Amino acid sequence: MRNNNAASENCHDKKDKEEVHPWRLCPAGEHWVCTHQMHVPPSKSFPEGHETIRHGHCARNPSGKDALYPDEIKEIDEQHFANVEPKPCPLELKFGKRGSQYDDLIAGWTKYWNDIFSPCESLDPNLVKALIASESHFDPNILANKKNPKSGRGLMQVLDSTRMILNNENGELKNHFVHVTRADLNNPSINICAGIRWLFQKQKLASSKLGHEANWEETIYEFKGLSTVPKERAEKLLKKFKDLHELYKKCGKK
Amino acid sequence: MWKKVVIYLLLWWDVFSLNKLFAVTMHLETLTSKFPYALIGDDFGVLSLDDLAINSCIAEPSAFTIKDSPGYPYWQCFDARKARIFCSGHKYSEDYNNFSTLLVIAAEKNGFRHEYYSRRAVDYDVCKEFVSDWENLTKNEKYVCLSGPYIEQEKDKNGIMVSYWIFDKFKTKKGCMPYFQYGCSLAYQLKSGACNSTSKK
Repeated sequence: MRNNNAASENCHDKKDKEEVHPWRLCPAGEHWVCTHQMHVPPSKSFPEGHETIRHGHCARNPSGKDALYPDEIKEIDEQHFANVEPKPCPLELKFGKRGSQYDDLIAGWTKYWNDIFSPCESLDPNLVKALIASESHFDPNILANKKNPKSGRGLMQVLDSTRMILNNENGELKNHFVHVTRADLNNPSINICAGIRWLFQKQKLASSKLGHEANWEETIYEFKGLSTVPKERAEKLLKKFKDLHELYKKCGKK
Repeated sequence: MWKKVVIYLLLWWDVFSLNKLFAVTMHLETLTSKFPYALIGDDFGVLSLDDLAINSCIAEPSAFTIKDSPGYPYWQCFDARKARIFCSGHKYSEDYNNFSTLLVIAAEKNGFRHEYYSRRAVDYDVCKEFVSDWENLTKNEKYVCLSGPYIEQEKDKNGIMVSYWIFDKFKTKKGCMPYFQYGCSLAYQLKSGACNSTSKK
């Protein structure tokens, strides 16, 4: 896997990577399932069936392509994220302890998806943190609209329609799926993993609309749906996000 | 005899009015003494201590300044006749498989205009529901209160100063309607641990 902390000269020469990220627990085309209890159907020895322990193992992805599932998302986070660099600025910015509680997850998933997609301009973990601050003020359980369970959920306000696209191996995405349920999106690690994956998809969509590789500000514009609202008002909302991003980038320096 | 009755009635009315004024003053003083930064201006009796407490769980309270207000939502109350809600823009969005729009609440106070925006584009049907909720909660109400973090202010093309905010929730004496689920519930904030996160020790 390439180190993508700096812009690469050959970043336009991208191919859909078949190699597995070094943090993955399984070979290409498979995903990790953690140890769990399993019900075995009735048999001669056990006419009423019985419970057994299925030890952690690699399971085949239906399409043979790369897919992340919750068990592996949590394993990757636990095994690798404590020492990942760069971390976002640790400033809490008046959001209390929650304002820096997810820094390891932000750093880890930003690096993971930067490694997978090798963008011309690496995604900055401070940008992800500013996005989370503007979307959810760091509340992992928040739902955008009480009347609509399909609305934005969790730290990065992942929509249900987005979740379904990330799950769909026969749809809009060509690879690197993220298979999660609605409830899973209340888990901070899963939400950030899925949210950043979607951010990269939005970059691709924004690039296609604009006719050039979208920078991250243009991608955020797309992520927040601002291209569908009047420009003057959209700029005000983007400003709020940009102010937060600046504060994190400066990280307390004047 | 009748003179005495009139005098007693006038005296009673004076005392009643004074009591009412006293109650209103005490109410505002109670709010501002416990949460000195939460409210900009008068609440006209609409808000409760819980309403102000909720915002202290979202972010750490700080005095309002146009220079630096990252996330703390402030309450402001307006004459309901000078406030309106609408859906700005109407374009198809693949995210919603529907049209999307920006929820906007515009209000005027003391010659200044204030605009509150949803923090991202929303499903057009969702915006229409908010419009309906607004109409129900503001019907026959004198005042409406709005809560949200500050963005910036600038003069519009007519030279009127406009302040821009993120929409968090609105409230009248009839009820409260938040952008986020449970946004009007202090119980939710306490249960989620948010209030412990932002409280200073």
